[in-house]
Amino acid sequence: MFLQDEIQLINRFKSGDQAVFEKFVQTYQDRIYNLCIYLLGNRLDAEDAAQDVFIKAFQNLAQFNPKASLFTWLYRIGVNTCLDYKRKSRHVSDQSDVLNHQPSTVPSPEKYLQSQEIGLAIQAALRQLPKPFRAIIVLKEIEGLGYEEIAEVMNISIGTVKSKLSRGREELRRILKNKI
Amino acid sequence: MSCSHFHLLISLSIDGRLSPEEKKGLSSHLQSCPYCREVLEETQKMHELFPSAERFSAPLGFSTRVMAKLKAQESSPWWFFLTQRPLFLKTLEWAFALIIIMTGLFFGNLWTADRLSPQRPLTLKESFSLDVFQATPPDSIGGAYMALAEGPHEK
Repeated sequence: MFLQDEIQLINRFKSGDQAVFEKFVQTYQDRIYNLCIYLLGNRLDAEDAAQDVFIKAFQNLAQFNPKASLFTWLYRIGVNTCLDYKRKSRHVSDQSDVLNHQPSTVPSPEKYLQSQEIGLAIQAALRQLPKPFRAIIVLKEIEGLGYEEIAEVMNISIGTVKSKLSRGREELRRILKNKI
Repeated sequence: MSCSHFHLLISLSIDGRLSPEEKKGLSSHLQSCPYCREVLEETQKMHELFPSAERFSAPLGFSTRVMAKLKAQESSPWWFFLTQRPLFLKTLEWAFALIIIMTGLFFGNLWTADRLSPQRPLTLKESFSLDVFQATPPDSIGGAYMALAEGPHEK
């Protein structure tokens, strides 16, 4: 969504056109869902948390300042929602959960399987990381955010981003060592 | 400088965030530290995995379910928002209620203690003595009658 489109959407929402919010959800749902699944590790929790993210966004969109980035604002809600998320009691097999999920666009079955294996290994390793390190690794390595964007999302300094990213990578490296 | 400082520089180098001086310093260190060379190699290998990891799409009907939840919230009863408060707020409310109850109990206990407890605690012998019991306490109906009849209290 381009900046102009974002501003237009927010203005329409603020003037009472709440139906435009569905378009907002459709625009960002994949990114938020992807963020949640890597932070929480399973499909059901990710969908719950992603729904909560958009509900909170709906409740606070009227107060959003269009000069700030809508994308980092939404990511901040996403990260905070996942960090605070309390798992509902369900008997879920994480591995089968992810394997049964609908695939993203991948060119060939072999590449899809390979990406699934890598995704599973990374998810399993991320689950062993403390949540603050996990969030920064996901934002940097999976979502591709820059240091400045991560600092804005997590509400920390760039120096803290650098040191936490370094420590998160070290921990992840130890966990993934010899597994991939 | 310790290797842990160079591990930070390794992480920055992966993202192309090193200054020229830092690049020089790291390069020089790597020439003499096999452990840091191994860390760099493994971190680089791990970093290159992530673009290959699966990217997940939201499940079918996700936006419809979000809009349905929002609509359900709008038509919920006025007290529904009370159940949606964050956990820390709920915890604070319980803690406050507990403080009020404990304060009430404490001061209530103080208030009734003066009225219920005897002027002087009784000894063991006294507590088993029938002298403790007044057949007609002064402030009872019997006591009033005795006072009127000007009869002595029986011991």
